[in-house]
Amino acid sequence: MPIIVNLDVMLARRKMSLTELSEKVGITMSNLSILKKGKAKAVRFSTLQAICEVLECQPGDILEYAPED
Amino acid sequence: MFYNYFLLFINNYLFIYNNIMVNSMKNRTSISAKALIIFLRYSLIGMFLWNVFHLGLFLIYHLGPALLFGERKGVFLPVVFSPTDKGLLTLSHTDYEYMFDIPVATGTFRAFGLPLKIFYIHSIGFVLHYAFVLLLIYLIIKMLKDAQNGSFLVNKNAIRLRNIALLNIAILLIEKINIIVSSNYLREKIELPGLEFYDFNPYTFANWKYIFLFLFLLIIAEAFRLGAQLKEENDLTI
Repeated sequence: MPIIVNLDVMLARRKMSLTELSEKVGITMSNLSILKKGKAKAVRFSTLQAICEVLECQPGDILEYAPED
Repeated sequence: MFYNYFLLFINNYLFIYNNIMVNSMKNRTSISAKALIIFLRYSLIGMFLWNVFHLGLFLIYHLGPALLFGERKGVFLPVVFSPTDKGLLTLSHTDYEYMFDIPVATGTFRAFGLPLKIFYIHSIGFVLHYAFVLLLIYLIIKMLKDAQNGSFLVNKNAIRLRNIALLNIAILLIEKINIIVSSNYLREKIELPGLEFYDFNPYTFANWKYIFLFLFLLIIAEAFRLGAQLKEENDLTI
């Protein structure tokens, strides 16, 4: 998948744990884990908005496009 | 005395009705479907074991002695026939008598000491038929097990459904080929007063219509695959 999820990087920058993010955003740990591992097939705008609000960042800080070789 | 027993029975009946029927009606979809799945699964496990037993018997008592000692026991071959004479139908409420005939009938013919070639052709057909039936039952059992565990709409089940449709078509073909080969071989060789034997007749194609049902099952399998794909995407949408 050429879309890379940098959620762990942003979490480290904000010094926040996945559990804390899960509580603040209102998404289950298992779903956040799927997102973090890059196994998700799609992300809802509402989820992205909630994550960006909590982490005080832009969608581009979380998602990155890396072309496949 | 009898009245007391009657009241006791009514009370017990109402208690059972309230506890089982009303509760199951409230949660109708979950309870009844799950119970039906369990019932079907165990029935099919029983059917699977019965077919294994049947196939085992054939291998031990029929094919084994034929391969080892060349001994051929009686095998059941399908034949298609028709009585040469007409029958008489008398209805009790009328004075009339009606003539009738049986244009085509099917039955099994127990043949002993068949030539080895025919015996082996029949045996291959029989073993293939049972192997496909066993595989078919096994696939349905696996599907029901997944359904029981709550993961019914998965890609694995779509593949199973497609294989079930293909196996059904194969079983139907084997049955038809068996009837055609057997009737063709026996037609000139058997004699039974009052009966005429056929090699090829409209009855042979009587239940070809089921093939459309199995072809439709292939389309359902494709729909199932698409559904499983959509479900997977939905599950992985955060």
